[in-house]
Amino acid sequence: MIDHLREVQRRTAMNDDLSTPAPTLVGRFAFDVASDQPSADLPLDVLDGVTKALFAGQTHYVDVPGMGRLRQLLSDHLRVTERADVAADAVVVTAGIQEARFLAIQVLSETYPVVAVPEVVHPGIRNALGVRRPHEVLRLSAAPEDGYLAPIGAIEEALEAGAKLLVLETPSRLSGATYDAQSVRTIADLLVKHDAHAILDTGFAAWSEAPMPSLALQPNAEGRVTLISEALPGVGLEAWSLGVLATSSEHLAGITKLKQIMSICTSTPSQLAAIEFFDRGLQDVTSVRNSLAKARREAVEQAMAVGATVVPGSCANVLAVATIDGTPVGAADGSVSERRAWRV
Amino acid sequence: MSNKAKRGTEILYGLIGEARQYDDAIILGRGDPDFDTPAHIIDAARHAMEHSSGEASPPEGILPLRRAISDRVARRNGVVYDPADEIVFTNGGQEALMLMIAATLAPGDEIIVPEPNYNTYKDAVAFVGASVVSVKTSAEQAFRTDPAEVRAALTARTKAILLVSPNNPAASVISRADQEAFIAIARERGLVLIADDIYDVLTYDGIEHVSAASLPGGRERTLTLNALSKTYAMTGWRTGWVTGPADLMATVRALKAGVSGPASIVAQYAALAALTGPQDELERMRSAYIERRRIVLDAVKAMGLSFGQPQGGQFVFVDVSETGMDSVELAQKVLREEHVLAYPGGAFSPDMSNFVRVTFLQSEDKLRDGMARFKRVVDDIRRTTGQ
Repeated sequence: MIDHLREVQRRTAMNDDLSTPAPTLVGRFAFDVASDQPSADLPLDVLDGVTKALFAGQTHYVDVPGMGRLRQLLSDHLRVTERADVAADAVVVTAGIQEARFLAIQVLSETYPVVAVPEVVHPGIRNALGVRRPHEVLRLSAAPEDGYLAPIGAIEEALEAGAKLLVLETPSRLSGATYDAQSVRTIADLLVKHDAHAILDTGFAAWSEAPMPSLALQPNAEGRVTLISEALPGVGLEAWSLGVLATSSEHLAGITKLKQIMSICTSTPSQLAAIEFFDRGLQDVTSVRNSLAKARREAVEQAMAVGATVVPGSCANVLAVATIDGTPVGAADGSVSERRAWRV
Repeated sequence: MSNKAKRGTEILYGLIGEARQYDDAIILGRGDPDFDTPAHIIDAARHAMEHSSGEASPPEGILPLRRAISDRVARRNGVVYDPADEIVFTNGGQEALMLMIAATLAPGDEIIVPEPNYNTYKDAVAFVGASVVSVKTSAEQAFRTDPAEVRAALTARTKAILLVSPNNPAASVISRADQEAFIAIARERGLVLIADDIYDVLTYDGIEHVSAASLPGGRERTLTLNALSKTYAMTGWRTGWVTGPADLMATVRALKAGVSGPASIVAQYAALAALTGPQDELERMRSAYIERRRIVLDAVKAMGLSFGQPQGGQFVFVDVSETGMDSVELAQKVLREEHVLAYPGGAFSPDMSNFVRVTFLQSEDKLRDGMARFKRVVDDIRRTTGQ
């Protein structure tokens, strides 16, 4: 090992101080990253459309922020699904949700160097933070009884301590818990009060059975929220690595610039596939959510029958449970309908 | 904003945007071959869409692909890497470069970078808070990076040397002797060599490409990037990789997980097909580049302009000092008046504002047309200025 590289390795040691703690109330949890989203067989006509486009020569570089048509379709989709109201030119197509996390965190933490992150979040957030550290990271407490959402009090405390950037998941990628309307309004007020910004991962929004008010749609939060997500969760494109990021004009140039340095553009077959889904009106996953919800209800009953504690959550694709004796278990996952049952 | 105040990539993307306004534009700027991806690669991608779309990939890529990369690098570059922990598949060469830089440099560190160079090297170095120390090259020396100049540029903060062979945009190839000299410097000073081998199969006139990692003492301190974009006409797919010794690659792999996670599974299977399938399309394209290069060189000679003899790559670096114009201004003039996009050398290095980079990635007819249009501008300047 060349000596100076030890320092680089230490720096990228993935945020030890942010490691997901072992919740003390109900035992220890593991986080299933691999199957965040339900899988599905891809419609053959979608694949035919992608193949035809590739044979027609759509194999070359495309615009850094994504194909113009797809950006428009994603802009429309975010509006229809009541997650954000942004113009197409505020949308960046990313190489999966992880690149969206990375771009948002790295660019915004340059402007807002004190970042507040819930202590229980998807590990990808810590990974993205670890590539190049912001100046300071504050931990937001996150308790199982709240579905591991950071409580409003903790958010307010962090903002008062100087945090200018919140990184939040709603729904939580561990439990599926979502902030209610009052909480969302309060968070928006806090962003305004403290002149702060939020990165909001809404990748599980499609699976929420509870109302999911969007922080990005709060009138007073306009320009203060950068939304990230898988581009089309649940349609079978997870392994195609396609994400979306919607941000304010203030940060768009910086994010586009970093995207260009990172990968020039997102893989064209993935972008073409998303367009094919939209063109066929196949982006709606309500029926998938309904079938997952049924499976989840059954899983909850099974979990309770064996004495496990169910963590509050309202998403049909995940179920977080704990064993009685605190033995580490996987996050129960009812997401992969016919291919896998929920797992512990 | 003045051209001088703009960063290199801003200038290039500005020109790309302007070129889109012209229906008859001939693009001799961007490094995007006019060839489409070979059919058997698309067929393999289609197969993967149907049968592997649910397959989870580790951040470093699926094992069959890493094995194929290992085979290719062993066969072409003469270095053996373990697919288990010495190869990471990336979203193109661009991400590979960023990962190598981030794995090697910390804030305050310096990296030796020969000029001219593709400007995103500087962007990547700036991202991690390190600094570029430039080493100049010249057309008179065929844009050779002189090891003595590199040695003279070292400081206590130097942590790495960038080796781009064939160079973009100057198209020079680093000789075996110079590679050995760079390895000796790196060993002596405990440095990492960051090698960009993306044009390794595209050398001309019998010039040999030698990978730094293949030479004694090179493997343990070299990170090498490569990609399929240029050689297999797969720019849009985003298919590249980094190879290196396991200790360095551990950091690259961790960074890959943090930056973007695994590349698209469809792109991975397409890359696998490119590396393991028939190579006749590759040879056909390579033969075409040889002929196209000749067309551009003949045209440049006919203009009475000099150029750096392109030893490799897909471009000719043309000396336009005779026009008396700054390269950015000249590129803008050629684009606006004749709708031909060529990249100004000034975007690659302030010291290269007398050069423009002309790619030979278009059809022979387009190249002839584009160079004829270019000549009209140069002739007009000569008439106007009496030069």
